[in-house]
Amino acid sequence: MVQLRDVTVQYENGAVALQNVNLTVEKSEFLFLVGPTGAGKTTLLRLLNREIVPNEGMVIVADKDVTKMKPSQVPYLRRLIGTVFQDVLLLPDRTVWENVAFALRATGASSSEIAREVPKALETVGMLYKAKAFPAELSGGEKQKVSLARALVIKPLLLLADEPTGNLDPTSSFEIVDLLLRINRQGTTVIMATHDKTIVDAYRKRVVEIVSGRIVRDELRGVFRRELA
Amino acid sequence: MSWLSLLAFFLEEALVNLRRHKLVTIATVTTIAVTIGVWVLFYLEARAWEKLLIWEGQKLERLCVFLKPKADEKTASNLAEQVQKLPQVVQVRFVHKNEGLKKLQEIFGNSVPLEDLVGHNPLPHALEVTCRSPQEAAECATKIKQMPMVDEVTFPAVAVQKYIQMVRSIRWRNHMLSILLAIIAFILIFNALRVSVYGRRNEIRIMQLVGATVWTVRGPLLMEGLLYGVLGALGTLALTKLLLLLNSAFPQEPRYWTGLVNSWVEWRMLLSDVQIDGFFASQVLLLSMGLSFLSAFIAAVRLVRAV
Repeated sequence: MVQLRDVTVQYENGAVALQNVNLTVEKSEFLFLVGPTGAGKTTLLRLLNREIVPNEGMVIVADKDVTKMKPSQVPYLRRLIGTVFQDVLLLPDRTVWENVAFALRATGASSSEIAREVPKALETVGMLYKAKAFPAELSGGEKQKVSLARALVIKPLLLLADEPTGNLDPTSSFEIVDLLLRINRQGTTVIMATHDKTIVDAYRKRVVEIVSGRIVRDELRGVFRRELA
Repeated sequence: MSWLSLLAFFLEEALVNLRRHKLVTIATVTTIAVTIGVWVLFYLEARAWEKLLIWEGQKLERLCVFLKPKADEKTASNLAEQVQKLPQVVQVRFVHKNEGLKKLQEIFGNSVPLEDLVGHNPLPHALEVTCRSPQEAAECATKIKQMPMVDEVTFPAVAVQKYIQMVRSIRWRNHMLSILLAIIAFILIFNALRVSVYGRRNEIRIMQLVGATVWTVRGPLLMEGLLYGVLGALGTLALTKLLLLLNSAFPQEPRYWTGLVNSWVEWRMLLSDVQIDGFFASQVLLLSMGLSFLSAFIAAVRLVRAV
């Protein structure tokens, strides 16, 4: 599903965000991306949905070399990728339903498709009962679930989650990761960047650790810190 | 992809934004309405000038061609045919020398005794030539002057020059002011859309992340521009209607424009031909939407880039 070959990213200010990174993620795999702040986790995720392009190397997503992609092709790549952030980015003047439907409407889906897919996505994250609520009426965990529903409604092959539990209490955090695992079991590849030691240690999934732009550890059933394992 | 759904989406998003930024919307729509209103005013003024100058214009378009004394009626007739073939000429009338003398008598009345001339008419035959426009009269006069048997061609050269200069200066001033107003309207629409892009930054980010094409992201902005155009046109029509109502409410009171239109052009004259019918409304709508859409297009391309 994802392949990074000798990828180097250097920002305009000269800072090297990633250096000679090689990574392969198979279809339907679940991967925790860990490392200190500024290590390059977010840069790696932004490479995958082609928000940035590397200075060197090759990035392949769903058999497509995104580094050679024309700008006009990028939207079609992104329809294969769902994205969830720590900052949930919900539209405050729209209901839960409208927030999820927005993703479909922006890609030109018909009304019947919206009426069919939005309740499915909300049902998956357990938020259908709050379809008419506005974001201000929701807790942090609920907002993140809506954000997840919005990412799922386009039926992505790959789900990128950048610190999705960063602002949540432990209970909500586990609920979100449980949801991500459920989505993963249905066939979606999930890459989750996190600082949350408890979660990484609890699930024992593949862990890739990045430090100063380099991959220093890649374990199949890893923990947050090697020394703690 | 359903285009109808996408258009409905653009429209809804644009309406949401107009509601969000009411003050900016009002300022932009007012500027467009005033801009288009002034354009309409310029158009009406140009028509009023044409009307005022029409009788003068008719004189300015006319040349008097005096033939050489030895030219007879047959020569005059041949020359008339030759002149008629010139592209600038609309009409040629042969004026017999006797008719000329009669006209002269009418002009001088009894102040000059012309009775002695009976039986000995010193006037030559002449042609009265009407050109397509005063601007073409000078060129036409030069051509006719070179023809054989033509003694003299008279036309009000100074008046023609003044007429041409006046028309040119009015047009130049109107064009300059129109361009200036269009630039002001463009800047306002551009800034309104800049505010809109800032207000919609979350929507734009989400759209880009879920795979909306760059033109889908720009779509609501273009629709917003079109809505500004529609609302601006409605504003112009409302202003015109108000002027027409004022005109009919004070029919005996002459009013004069100052500033944009020369003060001596009675403003009621500008409005005398105006009717807010389907044609007028569609012209205003097209002009307003054209200006707004063009501004919105440039703004959308500059403010929303493919990422």
